[in-house]
Amino acid sequence: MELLEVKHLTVQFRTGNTLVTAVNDVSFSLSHRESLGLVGESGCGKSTTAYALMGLLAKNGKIAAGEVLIEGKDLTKISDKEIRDLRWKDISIVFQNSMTALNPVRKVGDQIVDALQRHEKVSREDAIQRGKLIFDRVGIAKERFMQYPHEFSGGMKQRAVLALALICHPKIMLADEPTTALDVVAQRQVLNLFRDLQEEFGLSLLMISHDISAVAEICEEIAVMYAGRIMEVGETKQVLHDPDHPYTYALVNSFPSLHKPLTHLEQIPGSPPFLAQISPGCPFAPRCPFSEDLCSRECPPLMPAKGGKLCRCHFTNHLDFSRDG
Amino acid sequence: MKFALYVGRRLLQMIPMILAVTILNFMIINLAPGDPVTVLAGEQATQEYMDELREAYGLNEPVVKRLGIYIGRLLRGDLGVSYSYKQPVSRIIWEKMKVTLMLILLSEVVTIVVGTFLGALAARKEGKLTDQVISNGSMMLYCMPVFWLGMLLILLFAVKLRWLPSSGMYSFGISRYSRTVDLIRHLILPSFTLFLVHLPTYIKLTRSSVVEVADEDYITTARAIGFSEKVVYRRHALRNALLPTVTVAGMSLSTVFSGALLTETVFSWPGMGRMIYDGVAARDYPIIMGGFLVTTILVVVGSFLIDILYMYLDPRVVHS
Amino acid sequence: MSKFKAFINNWQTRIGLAILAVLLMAAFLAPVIRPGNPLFAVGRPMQAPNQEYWFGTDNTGRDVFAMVIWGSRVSMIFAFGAAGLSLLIGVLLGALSGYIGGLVDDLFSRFFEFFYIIPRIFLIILTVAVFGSSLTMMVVVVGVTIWPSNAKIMRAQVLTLKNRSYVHAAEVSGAGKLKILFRHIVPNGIGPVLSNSTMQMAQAVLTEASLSFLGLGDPNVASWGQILQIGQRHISTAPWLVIIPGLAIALLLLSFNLLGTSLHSALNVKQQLLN
Repeated sequence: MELLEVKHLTVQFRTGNTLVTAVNDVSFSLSHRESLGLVGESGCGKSTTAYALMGLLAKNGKIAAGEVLIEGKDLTKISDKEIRDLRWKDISIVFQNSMTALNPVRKVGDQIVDALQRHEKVSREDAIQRGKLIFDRVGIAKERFMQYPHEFSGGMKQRAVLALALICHPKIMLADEPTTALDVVAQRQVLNLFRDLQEEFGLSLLMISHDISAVAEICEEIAVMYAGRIMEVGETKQVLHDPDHPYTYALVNSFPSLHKPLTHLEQIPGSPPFLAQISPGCPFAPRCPFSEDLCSRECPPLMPAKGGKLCRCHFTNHLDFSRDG
Repeated sequence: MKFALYVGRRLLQMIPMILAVTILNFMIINLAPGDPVTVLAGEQATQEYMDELREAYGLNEPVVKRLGIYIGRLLRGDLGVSYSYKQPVSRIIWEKMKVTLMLILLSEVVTIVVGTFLGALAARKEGKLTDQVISNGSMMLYCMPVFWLGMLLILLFAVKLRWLPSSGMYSFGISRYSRTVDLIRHLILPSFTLFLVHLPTYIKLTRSSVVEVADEDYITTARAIGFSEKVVYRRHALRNALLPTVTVAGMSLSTVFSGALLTETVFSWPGMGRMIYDGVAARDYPIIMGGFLVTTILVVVGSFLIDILYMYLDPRVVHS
Repeated sequence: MSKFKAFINNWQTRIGLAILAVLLMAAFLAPVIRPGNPLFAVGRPMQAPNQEYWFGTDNTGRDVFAMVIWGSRVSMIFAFGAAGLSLLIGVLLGALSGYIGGLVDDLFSRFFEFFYIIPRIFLIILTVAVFGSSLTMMVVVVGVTIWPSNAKIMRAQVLTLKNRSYVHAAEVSGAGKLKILFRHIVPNGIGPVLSNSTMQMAQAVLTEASLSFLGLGDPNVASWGQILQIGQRHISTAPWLVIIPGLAIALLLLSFNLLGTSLHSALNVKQQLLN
């Protein structure tokens, strides 16, 4: 049994009279100690997927279809209380905005101790001890444990939020854009930290980012999302070095490489579709250089592609990107 | 320690304030039309008394020296003598202040508690009927002048229903109630008036504060950790949402005294506000100045204390 | 422009404007509706509202309806006069304080704070007692005591806006500092000040009513607070003297508050973008 199985997850939001489908028929799985990256442009549904996994959707959102199984238990079917007990203990999240993720008028240490005591019967002293240990592990001085968030620098706050996410030794950790707000040096540090912690804590990691290079460093598997759907998923190397989907190819090519010779940066013309209007065809068709009539009529299912990947394209295995490269 | 520094800084800031008010006060006698001595002594003073005053206040000396003498007297607790009460001002103020505080303290505390509760309730039921009722009712209350409100209450409860007395602090003559109950009966309407008049401020404030806080990221974090809505609300949302209330409570101390003055006039409640008003009518400057000064000092000290309270609740201020 | 539309279509704005319009008309048309001095006795005193005297008469036989109509003039003069004065002083001092910064700003801030400490009613009573109670004097006194809140808001806006790129651009291109302040910064930041001013109009009306109620108003003009003062003395025998003028005050305050609230909401989106 996989640790995390997401099957045909669909998440919808109601804004006024419109129903927006932010996540459409998304499936993936995560095994123990595995790491998966969810990448895509802003608004493609990756963060929403993460929040859906934790049951943290906004009031106007709901899981319209699909299952989310953590060790076999379906989160969409259990009671609110059970979900709350699961949170943080089985699955936790490192929030994107570390600046505001902590309560400014309570000491950081108190918030961490609170989180621990919510799920385990420990005395306050023991909780503080464990908290300080985690602080040490993520690289914050132990003396800072009982300080307030505003006394921490930006990078430290990010680590503090990480420490908070780890305190209950979750089985799965979601990281929402962990490197986005950081400078390059800090990014490197955080990524190394993630790698080490994953080893040490035996975590399964789901990393959400629009920074493909960051994801490529850490995650063995990667899923590319577009307009709420998974377009391509598989082993990271396979997906990034030998993409099957035109979108993946374009995405990879829009990043300059430090190693290869300087080339023209490709831009994908057009913009992502409004998620309130779901066309029956492939969501990428309007911008795809290879699209044909079939693409606008019918949305392709995920098909097996080379290297053990799955790709959502009618012309999987038939496209040759070298001509455009 | 950073806290001590903050407290010290705030204390130091108080001093120029009080000094400025004192000087303003002092200027009042000098700005008033006519000879300052007549102003201080009243119209029917004897020549000897006026000469005494001239001596005592150093009215023959240059302005700066006069200011010094004035401050010197203040520091000794000498606020002069009221010519309409024929008693030292300080004694009168002491008596009257107790009476006003009786009125203000009770109603303010209840207003803050009830206002906060209703505001939070309205925020929780945002958009629904409860919210509409509370918000609109609050708006209407806000538009009622305090003295009108007082008079309406008198009309209803004292004139029409005859349940409560319409004015004063105690009943004249023999009453069938004990002294304490009599006092309470007289206290109800004026306190209720003050309570109602300040209620909308706290309702509106708390409502918008809770609505704002509910959207904050750390609330999502608390939910993600697995706390129930009730705990998230109480431990995180409310605590943070109540901070502006403390600030506003500190800032509205002067408004409270203004409201008290008008209420005391409507209900003939013999407190500081009434005293100042009567003093103005009688041109009894020692009373006016004394009352003004004491009230302002109370406001400054009160707001200082509330600042200190806020410091404990929101540690960010200390580190700025 | 869609914000303007939103503002107009808001039910709060509509009701507020409607009430204000009615009262403004009453103020303008007072000599037409009830010619003559409202403070002259015209009938039997202490009449409850009836066919002839819609709002009844007071203890000296004056027509309460006439007093209320003419009283709206006083309220309007106060509302626009005092709030206008406060707007002028507040914007000027607040903008300068925020723009110049440094020691000047520090001193000004202390100065503003000072006004928050003193119970306003006390200060006004005192000043009126010393300087007299003509209408003009009172409007000036009120205007001069309520400007700090405008100054505070303007100052905060200036502090936020003076670091915007378009301000830097103007400075670099050699425009005079004052010109930049009043041509670029102030117009962009004045939104919240305007919405505050509507509230200040309410405050001014309330202050005037309070002063007249306390007997410190101008005795030569009819004002709502004045009627209430009479009403207080005859509360058990002439309740209409209490209910009616108070209602007028409350309605006017309501209209200003409604307008202020919807103005605030309409501007809020823009302010959020500015911040």
